Amino acid sequence: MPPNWDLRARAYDALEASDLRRGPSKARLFSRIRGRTLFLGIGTGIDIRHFPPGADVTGIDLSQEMIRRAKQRCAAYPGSLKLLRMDAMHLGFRDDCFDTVVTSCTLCSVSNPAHVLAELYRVLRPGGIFLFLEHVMSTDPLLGLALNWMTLSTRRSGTAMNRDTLSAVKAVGFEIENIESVFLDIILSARTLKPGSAIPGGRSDASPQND
Amino acid sequence: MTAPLPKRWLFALGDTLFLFAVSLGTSAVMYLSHTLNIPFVSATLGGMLAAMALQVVMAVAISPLLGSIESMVPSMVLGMLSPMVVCLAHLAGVRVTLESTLMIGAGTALLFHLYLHQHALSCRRRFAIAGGKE
Repeated sequence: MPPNWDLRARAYDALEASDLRRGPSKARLFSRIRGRTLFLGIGTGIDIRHFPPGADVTGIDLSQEMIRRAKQRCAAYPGSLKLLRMDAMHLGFRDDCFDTVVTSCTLCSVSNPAHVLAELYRVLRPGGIFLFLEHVMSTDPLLGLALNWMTLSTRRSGTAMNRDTLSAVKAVGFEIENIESVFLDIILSARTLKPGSAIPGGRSDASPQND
Repeated sequence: MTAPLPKRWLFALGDTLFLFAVSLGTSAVMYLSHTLNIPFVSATLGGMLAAMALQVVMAVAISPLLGSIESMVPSMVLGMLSPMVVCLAHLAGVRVTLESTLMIGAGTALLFHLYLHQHALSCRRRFAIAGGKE
């Protein structure tokens, strides 16, 4: 049964109440947002408060209920923030149309992370930045065991605790610029690049495609 | 560095206290399970299940303060290890009292805390050596 994100939206803020601890790391990561930005998995908008002021962000989420809740936080943001309901597996944007793409605890919850990363790679312009703060599998055998155990139950709600996201990111073609440990080697904050340089005047419009 | 220093210290202190609380709680649950007049295997399995349930409840309760993954993952390991040590003490024929159980819990928590600290240092070294890359 696919996870019901509309249902999870109701308890999301309480269950994911880790902002007190991870907030500073998120703020530091998001401060690197430049130009047109895609935020994948905006959720209830809990991360909006950490966006740098004046950014141009398009936030997407699969769940209408998540979007509805995020809109309430959107109003207070001092910048351009557009929210859309969209499936990360099929991004409705043209190639190379964003300068920055961002995910925050999202790649654990998509059904096919390799496909989603390929979509992010496609919509990011050459030379663009991919920022992520994600929880991943630990290299420590004891902690890895706990993450595998947890995945047995969390997988039912659509979340895998034991993904090797770093390898997946590199496999798609992103070049890792910097990694910071947010919590051991389980929660990582990373800045990566799509190789290549920007084509002057060649960037596509970041509006969703209608065709 | 992931947060301003005083805040990091507070979280580190919170993590440590929480690990000790989980270790003492789950060890005590296993001890109580062995005080019931039931076969050793049943007491061990029942005690382990009850200890794991207690750990999950404690981790969920503390997660708004310490973070969901930050509280759940290490405490899950400790919530299994500490009761196992109590069981091993029973198996080894040691006369286990509530006081000695709490000592076992505190000792296991201390060792695991040191283990995690070492792992944290190795993570920082790993990313620093790689120049922040992997």
